[in-house]
Amino acid sequence: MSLSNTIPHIPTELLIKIFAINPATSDLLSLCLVCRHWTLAARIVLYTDICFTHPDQLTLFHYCRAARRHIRSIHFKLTASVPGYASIVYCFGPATLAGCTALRFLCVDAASPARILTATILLDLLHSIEGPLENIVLKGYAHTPEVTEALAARPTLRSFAIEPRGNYDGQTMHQIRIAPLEIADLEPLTKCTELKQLDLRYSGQVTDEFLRSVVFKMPRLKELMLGDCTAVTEGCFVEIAEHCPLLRQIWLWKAEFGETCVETVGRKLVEMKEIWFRRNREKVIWVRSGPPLALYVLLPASQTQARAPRPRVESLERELLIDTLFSFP
Amino acid sequence: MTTKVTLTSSDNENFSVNKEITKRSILIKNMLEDVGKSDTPIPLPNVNSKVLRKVIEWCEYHCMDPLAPTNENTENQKQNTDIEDWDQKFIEVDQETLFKIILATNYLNIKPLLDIGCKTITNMIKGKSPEEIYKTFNIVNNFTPKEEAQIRKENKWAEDQ
Repeated sequence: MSLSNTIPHIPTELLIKIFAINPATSDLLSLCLVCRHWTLAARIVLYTDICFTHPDQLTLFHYCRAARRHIRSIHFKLTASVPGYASIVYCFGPATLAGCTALRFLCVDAASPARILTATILLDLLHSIEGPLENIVLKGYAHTPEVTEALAARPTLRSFAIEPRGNYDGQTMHQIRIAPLEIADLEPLTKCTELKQLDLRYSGQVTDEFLRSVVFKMPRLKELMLGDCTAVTEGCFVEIAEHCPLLRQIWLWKAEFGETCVETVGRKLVEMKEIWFRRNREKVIWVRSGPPLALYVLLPASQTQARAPRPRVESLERELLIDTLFSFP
Repeated sequence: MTTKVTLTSSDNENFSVNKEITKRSILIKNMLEDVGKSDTPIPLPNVNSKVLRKVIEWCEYHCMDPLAPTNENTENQKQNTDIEDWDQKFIEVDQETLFKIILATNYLNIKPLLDIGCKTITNMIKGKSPEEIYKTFNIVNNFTPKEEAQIRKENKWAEDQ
């Protein structure tokens, strides 16, 4: 060991702990060049979670070989404000993520016209992942059933969030339409029997039929987030309880429900911690803390007192409703 | 009446310390719980007397602190590299001792003191070039020029972010 005599040998795990305190990329890059032993630790910290924001980074990442095996999460932040944005997705290829054998989290945020990040490019990327992918977030791309198929082939998947785009106005880059979600687009995902989280908040309209064909077949689902669900009926919601009994968080932003829904939550969905929906056209958020089971309703501040300009969850009024509105077994 | 516990350092020096104070170390706390009532000294073969004296000094000063929660709140730890004044003074030691305190607290499982040690090293590293770092810690750079070039090439994507 060619470490100096003055400082004792520090085990790699301890060095990792030291380097991981408030790590600046520039410091980690320096630490990689200190000595062989420190490189081991610094590399693990530098490569655990990485974020790409510029096309040049992807080109240079091609030269990164050995350290790839440490990567656990990758975030592609390909927003239109990045210089050279248009070329970044063309840096994706079948080998882009090859060798990332520990990759668990992938976020591809193209947040801009769908025509640039095509399903074909995305598929190349997905097929190149060797790691035990658990969590995937895809934003701003053209979703096709093939993309779902590629994901469904991954039994390790736990969480899935998509925000595909419909058509774009190429001039202004404004999103002009979000298509309703097609059952065929997501049905293959039901093969991922371990799926625990499904986030479709920005994926177009969800219908009862969609819930029955896709969501009902995910028995381990714990978190379900839906955006436009005006077409979802309360009757269908009641059925969810039978098919996804482990649900503990549901966001149904635009669904208009009454008391049946709340009763279902109280009686059948015993794991439920939080549910968002609308009642009498007002946004309602129910939060259950327990045991003993207590159900709170979080009302937007405007509804209680005109205080905060726009309610955030943290700033909402808490009002204990147990025994007053509904009672639970 | 407070009970005392005897700790024996690697160089066979005995330290008689209040039982409550030794419980700052999760290792010793668990040992005491496993053994129950016993007067046998606890041997600490990985800690010498100089370092053990320092660690006990820290534990005595911080004996009134609430015990750190077992489920670690790593997010807050990561953000903050500030060190309290007393601790700052306490940790102003030569590098060898500093690293030995870190190793000892890691072994004894005294998380707050380990964090102080780690933060001190982080502050010593901040903003330095590789040359400055290995000079600071008197480390021998054992890379061949080829290896160094390879590392620079691999990490190039992360530069200038």
